[in-house]
Amino acid sequence: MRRYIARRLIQLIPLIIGISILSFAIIHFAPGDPARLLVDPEQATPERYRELRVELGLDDPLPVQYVKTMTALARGELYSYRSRQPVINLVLERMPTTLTLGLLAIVVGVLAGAAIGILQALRPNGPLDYLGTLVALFGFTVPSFWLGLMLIMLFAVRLHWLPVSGIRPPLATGWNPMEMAPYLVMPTIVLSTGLMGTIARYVRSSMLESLSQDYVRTAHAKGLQRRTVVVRHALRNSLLPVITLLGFTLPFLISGAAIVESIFSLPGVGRLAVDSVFIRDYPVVITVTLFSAIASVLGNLLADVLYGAADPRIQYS
Amino acid sequence: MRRAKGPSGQTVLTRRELIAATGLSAAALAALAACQPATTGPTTSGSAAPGAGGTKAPKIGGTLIINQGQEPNTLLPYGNGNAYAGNIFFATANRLVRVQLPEMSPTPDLAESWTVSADGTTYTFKVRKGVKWHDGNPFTLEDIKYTYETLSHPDRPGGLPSNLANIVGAQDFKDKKATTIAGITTSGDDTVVFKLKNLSAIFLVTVASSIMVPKHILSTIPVADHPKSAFARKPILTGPFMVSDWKNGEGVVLTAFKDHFAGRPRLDTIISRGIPDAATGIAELRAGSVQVASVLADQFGEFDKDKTNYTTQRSPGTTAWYMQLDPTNVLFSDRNVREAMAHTPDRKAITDALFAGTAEPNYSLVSPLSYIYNPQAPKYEYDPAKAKQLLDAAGWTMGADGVRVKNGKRFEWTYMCSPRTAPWAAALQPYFKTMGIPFQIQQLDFGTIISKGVVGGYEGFFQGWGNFTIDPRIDLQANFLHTPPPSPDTVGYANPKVDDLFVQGTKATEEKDIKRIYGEIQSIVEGDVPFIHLWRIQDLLVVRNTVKIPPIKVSPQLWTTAAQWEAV
Repeated sequence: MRRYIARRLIQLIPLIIGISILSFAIIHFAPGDPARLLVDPEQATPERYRELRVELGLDDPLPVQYVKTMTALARGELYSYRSRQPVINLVLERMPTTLTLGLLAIVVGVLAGAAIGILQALRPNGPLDYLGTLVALFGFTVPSFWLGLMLIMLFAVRLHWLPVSGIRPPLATGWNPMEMAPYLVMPTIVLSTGLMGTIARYVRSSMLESLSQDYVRTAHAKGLQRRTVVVRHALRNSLLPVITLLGFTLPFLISGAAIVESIFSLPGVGRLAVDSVFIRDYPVVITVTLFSAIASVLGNLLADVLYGAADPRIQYS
Repeated sequence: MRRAKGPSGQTVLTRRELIAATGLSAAALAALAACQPATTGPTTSGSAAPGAGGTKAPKIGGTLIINQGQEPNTLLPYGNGNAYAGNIFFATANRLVRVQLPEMSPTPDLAESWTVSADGTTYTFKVRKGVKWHDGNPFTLEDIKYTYETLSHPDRPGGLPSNLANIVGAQDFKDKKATTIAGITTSGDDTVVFKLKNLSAIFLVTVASSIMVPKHILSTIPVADHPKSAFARKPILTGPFMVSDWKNGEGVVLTAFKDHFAGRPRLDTIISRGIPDAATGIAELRAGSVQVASVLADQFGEFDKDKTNYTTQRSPGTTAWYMQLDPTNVLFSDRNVREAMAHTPDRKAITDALFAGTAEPNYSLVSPLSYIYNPQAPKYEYDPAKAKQLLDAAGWTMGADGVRVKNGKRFEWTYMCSPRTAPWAAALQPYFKTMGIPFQIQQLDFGTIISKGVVGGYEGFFQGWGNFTIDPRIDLQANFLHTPPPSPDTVGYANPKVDDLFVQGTKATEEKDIKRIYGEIQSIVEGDVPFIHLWRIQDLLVVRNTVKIPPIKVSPQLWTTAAQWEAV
């Protein structure tokens, strides 16, 4: 297993280089010139514009720009065009918010989705199954921005149960879970809704298949309690596709976080990425893209490892 | 676009606000107004709104949360800060001279008074005593010299702006030929003298209104590293509020500076939030967790009706919205064609339909509230008959399919719009189609529009220009001065007579001369129809009745009154 993980991590290196080249090329070939956006309009002479392009290194050949950018990033000396602050600091100070939100969304989405899927599979084609299908369909079809605003209107504006936006009380500092919890309730619900729907559908399907297997019938014949049969025998096997799904879910959670973070004004990486794309802050965009890519690849690796742990028949060498 | 207080979460669109959105704007230039101290009354007229002062002693203490819609990009005063940073500086910084809005007249700030020599090239400032930096150190004349040496420093990127280069010795300092700026000298403990190479009518409202920075802190950091320093996130300045915290994505916390030379501000704390989503910003206002925010026309009505919970303020639109056309494009190179286009849209009907009575037709780049505004400059009202006549006379004849044609060239064009302005363009579209000069709407993000908005790279795009952030003379110059220096390559306007008038304008110090020269510039420019002016949208401010904000005449004035904001 260790050798397998080590090999996968080594394979990560060319993958990250490839992603960095691709993302660097895409952002540079996209329309929009950072110097045009940064130059002071009151002094937007062609000369000042050219000076700014030189300052930002935008007149260098693209391969040179790429090497300079990656070298600076590796040294922690890559600076945002917009704020002139080290990009790594901008990303790292926002990463905890996005990771916290993502992890909460995964936990809530998986638990809720699995519960719905199991209940549906235990009473197939009944009212509970139909209701579960409706909830699941709602989960992965409802637009995040709509759901977010509806929750805000109900729980924050009308009932005053929860704060509208932000990550903690205005003058609070640090990471106090008790202070931050109310701020994370609605964003977590919105971000986990889609995942919940997807998981519910997968678990229902997988559970139905497991429940019809011979070993489940045998377990029943042995006189085991229904709960034991469902949890120990059927559910464990049913979770294998869910684990695979989770590996692919991470990128979607990161992209989904961009929307959720904007709606709820959360200081996360997703919002930073969106803001940076609009103002063509190349260093920030490249860095966030790389971080997201690494997170996605590691997520997949984690899923593979968990897959092996869940199913003893799978051996990595 | 540029204003310090765009409606919450709205997409920014004007050229200056573009700066705001992207993070530029010369803070030294744009930050024209300074905070008024608590001891000086608000510049109110008419009846005072709740909280505008009055006979009761003001309440001291409390916290106010304001939504700016976006965050500052930096809090380094000369770090190309955006409009949101400019607002923070209004509350936290001082200059030698501040600019009174909306008159844009220079008034004392750290300089208690000044005199100008007979030839207009020497300015002598008497500097206020007893001023302290936020860290308790005394503000000295050395700080003034250091501020201008930093602005002119060789390690700052870019050339020296012409206004600074006009100080004797500043260019030598920039070129490393001198270790100090010869034209800035001090005498005693309260006098600083600026010697200029040439008379400059805008010296006070540009150079002298630069934000002062502390030598004792910044001189220990290489100038090239100032933008990356901790100072750029938490500056030590002299204004009535101090920056006590700035968490990216959450907000900037300002706390009262109790040793401010004019007395402490009324509030203990101001929190400036940058909530990017407009709907969320409105929800915060409704929930009461934000007390002050700008809103859009379609949201304003509900707050305006609820007098129990909210006080609202409407101020005249400070942004002129217009169609910018590429004058080098064969479709628009004929002045009469541009005039025909200016006669085409019914601005009144469109503004009534789109903005629910919160916008008015506009016919000039310069605000009608500005002291240089020339009401006699040409205006092009809605007149479809005249538009047709002009197009016919220009040789553009109506084709069988309803599109005008000239020498085989069809009058069809593309109009670039942002997501915010696209609906506005859709309202304009039928008028131009009826006239036989239809356009297709091309919706792009702001960054793409600005990058394509270079003469030769576009046909037309929706544009906005904010007034009252810099002197209106500079507004005009930034758009219509062709040379010297070379003009922006976005407008493409060139008229030698106008260039001559700008040169005259730099030497005009008497108000009547200023009005005459810049009035003539407006007449000539509007006569050339470089822009199709459209409308100005009122700035709409909503304030929860848990706090009080003095009445403002124009929206950029809001943050200049921060010291008078009060909790109820």
